[in-house]
Amino acid sequence: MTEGEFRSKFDAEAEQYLAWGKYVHTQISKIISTHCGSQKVAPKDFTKISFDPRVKEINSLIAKAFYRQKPYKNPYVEITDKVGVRFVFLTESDVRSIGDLVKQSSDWIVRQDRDFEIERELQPERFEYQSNHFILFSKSNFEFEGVQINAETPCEVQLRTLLMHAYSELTHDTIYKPNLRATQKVKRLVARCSAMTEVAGEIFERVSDFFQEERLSKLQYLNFSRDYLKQKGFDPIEGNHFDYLLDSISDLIAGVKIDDISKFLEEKPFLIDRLQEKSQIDLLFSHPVAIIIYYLVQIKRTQIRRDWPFQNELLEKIFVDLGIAFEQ
Amino acid sequence: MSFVQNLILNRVIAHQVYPKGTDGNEVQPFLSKSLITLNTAFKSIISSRIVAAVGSDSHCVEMEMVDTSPGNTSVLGKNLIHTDQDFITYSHVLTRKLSSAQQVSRNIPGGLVLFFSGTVNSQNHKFWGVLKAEKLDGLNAVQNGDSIELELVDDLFLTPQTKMYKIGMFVQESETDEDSGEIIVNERIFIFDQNMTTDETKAPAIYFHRTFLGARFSPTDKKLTRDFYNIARDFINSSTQIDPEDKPVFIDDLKSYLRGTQPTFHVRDFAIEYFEDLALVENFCSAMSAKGIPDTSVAKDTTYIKTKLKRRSLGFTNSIKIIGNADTFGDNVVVGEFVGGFTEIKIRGEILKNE
Repeated sequence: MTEGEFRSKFDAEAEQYLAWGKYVHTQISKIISTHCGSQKVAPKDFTKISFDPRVKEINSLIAKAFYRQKPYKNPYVEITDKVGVRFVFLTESDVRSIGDLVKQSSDWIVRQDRDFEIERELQPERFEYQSNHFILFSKSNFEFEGVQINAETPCEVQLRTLLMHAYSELTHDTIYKPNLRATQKVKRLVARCSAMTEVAGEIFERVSDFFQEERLSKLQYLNFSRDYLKQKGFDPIEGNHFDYLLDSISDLIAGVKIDDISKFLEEKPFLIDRLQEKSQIDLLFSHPVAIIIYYLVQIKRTQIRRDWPFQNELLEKIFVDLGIAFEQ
Repeated sequence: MSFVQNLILNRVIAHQVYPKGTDGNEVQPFLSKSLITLNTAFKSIISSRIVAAVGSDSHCVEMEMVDTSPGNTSVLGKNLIHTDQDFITYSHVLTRKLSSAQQVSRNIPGGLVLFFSGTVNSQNHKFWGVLKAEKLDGLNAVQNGDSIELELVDDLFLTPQTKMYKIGMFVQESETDEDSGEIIVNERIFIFDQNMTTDETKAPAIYFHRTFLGARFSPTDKKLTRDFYNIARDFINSSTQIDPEDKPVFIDDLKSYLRGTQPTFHVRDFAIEYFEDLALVENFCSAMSAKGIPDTSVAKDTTYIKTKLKRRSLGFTNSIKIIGNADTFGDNVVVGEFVGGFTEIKIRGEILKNE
């Protein structure tokens, strides 16, 4: 194939590549959404950066195809990143989770070209570019957004962490392309940088797990409370307006068993009516957190008096419903 | 478990009683003819005062009727649970009874007398209650143009100051007998009166609960006091949250607390005063409640634990005294001979405080 033939073929197919790239981007976004749903986290918080499908510029393609140290036999077919998408997440386990889901999908045929975990194992002394690269091939001819896409059209998908992305941004046009010469000093600096991002990555993982645990444990109480209220015909408000309250009483809530809260509610069926009345006046009582506060007043009243961040009058109402003297 | 949870007020009426006249005659009470219209704000304040006085952790005392005459307060009061008219009529009768009871001393102040009825608990037990509130005075600030003027307000009732009111609550706890299907009503009486003492002779301390309501401290208080001591002692000794070296100190605190001049003991008050750790306070209160010790004030009667609380002291010339618990004194103090002007004393243990 000559340069000219390459150009024309690409011109004719560019639209297809873009369409395939868009399809891949859409499908992966759906995969991420579903995954977020099961993890009870918002997709906009989970995906740190999302890159729209980008078709490589024709001159870059030509340069890559014909001006390579080790020439391609069939450059047009062998160059698989004519269109690419990229997703950046926070931790390596996030990258792994989405990568696994991409591989399991029946929307395409997958070939994984780069795997940072395997690369670490095969060359443990090297510290350089890390990302997971997948080439996704269309399975059959089909139409997407009015464009006909041929079977076996490739799209490169890069999945990486924020730290890996930072490293890549620093170096991607320079060091890691082996035909470019960088001074030894800079190479060493860059290697150190890559090593450091790997260390930071592990810490990110541990911190993220800790917060996830915290969030899930608070969530379980709120979810229980919400389910109970809905079951009793009460429609609680949603939202994180009372996160501050939950944080103030987080050590009081630690270790509280959902079963115990359940028993407490069974013993006091009148609480629903009291909540209903009060929710007309104070917002707190329309939020699922109210049930948790009632329970804490019953079992840890002196401590919650001390840690209560809002007006005492509000807490007093809860004491009165439970028939407990609210003394100074 | 509180017996005034889920307090729902349905009727309130207010009357006024006056102190004994300067001429020595009774000043007749003012008896209102109609119920108070209850809005959310009133219900909220009144419920709040009631629960603060007789709820869990409050300083009310459970009592029993000692006046068994046919016209006693318990009998009369039951009429307050029926119709609106009965409620009004009998609230008049009882207000006159309170006014008479106050005639015993010129120093008993007048005040507002509220009668109320409603339900409490998940089982919606019926109750009636009477609240006497003495009036407070205070100042109201009024902004007038560019200056502030002060107005005297001398008829403020029912502020959160608990010294200023007394309450008697009569709760009709009803149970259905499983076998006969009969409904059994067990009346429980809770009195809140900060002037109350167990010495039932002083007029200002007894006119409300004894003369007017006809109630007195229950005789089970000897047992409750002993139970409180035993459970507290066991709790302290077996607690993993207390250092072994602190345990004898807490036991000593327990004894000091019971030796005190207060006529009542109160579980949470004791815990908060002596335990610094709030988690320990909660555990202690739960342990007590699980064993049936009331979470309100209990009339103290140390008859059954007198020997445990007894002190023994050795006094010397030169005003030196050695004081300790009577039951362990002999083991821990060895008194030697009086030789050369000195008595040698050996004390087991080491010095803890040198003040």
